[in-house]
Amino acid sequence: MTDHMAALNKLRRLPENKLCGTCFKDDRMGYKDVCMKFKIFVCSDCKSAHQAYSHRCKSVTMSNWSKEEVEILKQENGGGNAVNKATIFANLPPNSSLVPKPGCHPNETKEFVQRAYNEFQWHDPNGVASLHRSASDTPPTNKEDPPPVMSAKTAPLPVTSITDDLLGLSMGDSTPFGAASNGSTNGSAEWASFDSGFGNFVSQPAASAKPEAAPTVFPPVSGGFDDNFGSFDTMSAPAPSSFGQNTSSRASFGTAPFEASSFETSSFDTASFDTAPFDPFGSSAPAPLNPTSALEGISFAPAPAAPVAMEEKKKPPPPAKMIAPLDSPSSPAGPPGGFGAMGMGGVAPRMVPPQGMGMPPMGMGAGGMGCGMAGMGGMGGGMGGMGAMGGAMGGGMGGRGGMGGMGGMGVGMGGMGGGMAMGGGMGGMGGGLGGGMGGMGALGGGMQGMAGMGPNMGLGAGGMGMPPVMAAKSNGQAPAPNLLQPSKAPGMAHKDIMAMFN
Amino acid sequence: MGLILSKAWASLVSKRDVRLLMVGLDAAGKTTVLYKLKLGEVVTTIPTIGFNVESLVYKNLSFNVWDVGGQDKIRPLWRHYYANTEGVIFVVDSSDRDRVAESRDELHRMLSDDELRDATLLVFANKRDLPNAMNAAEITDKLGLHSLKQRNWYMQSTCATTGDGLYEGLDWMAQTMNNRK
Repeated sequence: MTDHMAALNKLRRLPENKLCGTCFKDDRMGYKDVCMKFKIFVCSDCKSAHQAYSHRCKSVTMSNWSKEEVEILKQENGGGNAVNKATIFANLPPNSSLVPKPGCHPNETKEFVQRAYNEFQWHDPNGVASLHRSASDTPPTNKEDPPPVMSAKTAPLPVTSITDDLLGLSMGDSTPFGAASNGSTNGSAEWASFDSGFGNFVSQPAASAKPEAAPTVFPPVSGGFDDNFGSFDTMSAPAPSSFGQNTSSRASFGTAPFEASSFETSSFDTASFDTAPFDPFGSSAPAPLNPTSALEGISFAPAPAAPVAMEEKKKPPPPAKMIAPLDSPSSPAGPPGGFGAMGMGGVAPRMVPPQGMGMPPMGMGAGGMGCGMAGMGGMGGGMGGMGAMGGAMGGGMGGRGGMGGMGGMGVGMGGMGGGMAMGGGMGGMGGGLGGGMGGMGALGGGMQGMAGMGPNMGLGAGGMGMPPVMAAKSNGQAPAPNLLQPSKAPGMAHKDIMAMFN
Repeated sequence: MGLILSKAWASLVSKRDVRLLMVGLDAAGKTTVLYKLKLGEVVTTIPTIGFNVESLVYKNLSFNVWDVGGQDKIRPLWRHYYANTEGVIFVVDSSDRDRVAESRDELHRMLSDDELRDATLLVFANKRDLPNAMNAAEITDKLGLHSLKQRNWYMQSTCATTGDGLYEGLDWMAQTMNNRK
């Protein structure tokens, strides 16, 4: 990661920039879209509204950034959400009902953008002065931090500075994400790594992992909650090849845009695609076991990245219901057991608690964290479908996480199972495991998990659910047990998993 | 006789598959165009990472429309979709004067690819409803379409959110494809 990209990521994590520049909704992680015309960080809804008026927007992860473009976003250069709020919204009455609410119709957001940014209804060009005054009165804590000086590619942000301003501010109200995703590992270290864009994972891979958790498999589970995957490629370089497959398998059913529109795509910084050998047609891409894609065998069309990290929204647009991935039983499975080049399933990060459920945001969907290793002689291919670790009612969230877990059908269902079963990751584990072998198998596994089977049952069911043909195919190429990271399934003893393969 | 009849029948009911590739800069409105055509409604879209594909049955053709993300980091991936593409729909934001040159560069870079040598080109000058939108002639000029030799192209100004112009463009595409077979 280059210096200015690190600076950009730091900028978007500033407290003021975590409030959407247009609708003031807050996001714990900071937003990934920038409206360049007004130099603000915005949520995806507001970005759409800005784009409707051709206000140029860029994505932190999907666009190329120059140093200058990053510089102008800094507050001293007149950028950032604080300046924007002090000028564009200087005369906006507090608690104005015109401010678009989460989940409102896109037209309301557009209307608001029209008033604020095209007609300048509340604009006060002198608002900046007041901002400077107040800023000098109470300097933000992060001002004291030196600008990020990055030397190594693998250290995007100093962990300490992040924890200084983030742990205190936004993590106080948070529920035990770390614990949820990672069983009994220590939560605070988890947090630090969680928001620091992975940096410390690379530098100290086992710091927050249990000793037996191999870092190559483990980090995406927690690091994936952030989108800052600058170092993702260093851990699993061949991943994109099976991303391509997974994505295309979903997209060929037309599900991609709708999933995409009901989730905020973010993760997997395309840095990994720049550096990793991306060869969607190449021999490294596993052949789908069930290549019945809707459109003339196109399941290998290159799809660079998938909407992997997902933020659950309140109201998915109607089409999402129409073609949920679950409706596509013929979907090619995730990386089939025994073939795969290394394939990362996908990670569903932070889940916003569903509205109206009245539940604390307990759940953490690490849905479908899958990993199939390139095996020798067809070995391997274990999909460690980390089930979404639900809180009390983790069902819906787990489901989302599962669908997000983009190891094709299999992992998706795995995650689903995990979420539904109160037992969290176990069902998902089963489903995900099945997913490694065949989509239908995963379905079985997921369902079992959903029915609330115990962890062992879930896992077993994943295997049992395999359709015969899949079973035959994977016969003798059972996922190598050591690819599964039992420590990731909370409460599941390593020997339990081992026993299942014996 | 039976053969003739069956051929006639086939020509009436069978839909020829046509593969179309829809590209353009990010936020041009490609995904909105696609789903306006497919569903007849405006969907909330987010940046396309990867692609969307839908098949649209129109006239006697079955268009498989591939809508590929246009963010600058993923534009290099467009070329992976060129194979067997019979038509390209290039979507431009009419009101984005700053980036029309960028659009032109991407368009010409794409068309110089050998795999697209026979592809017809349909340009959607989208967002024509915006107040400062350029008109079709201006965009044609700025995209350098007149310099395209031996390329069958057509410029259509559109507004994806209302659907204006979309079917006019598709009409032209269908007609061109029918003449071609």
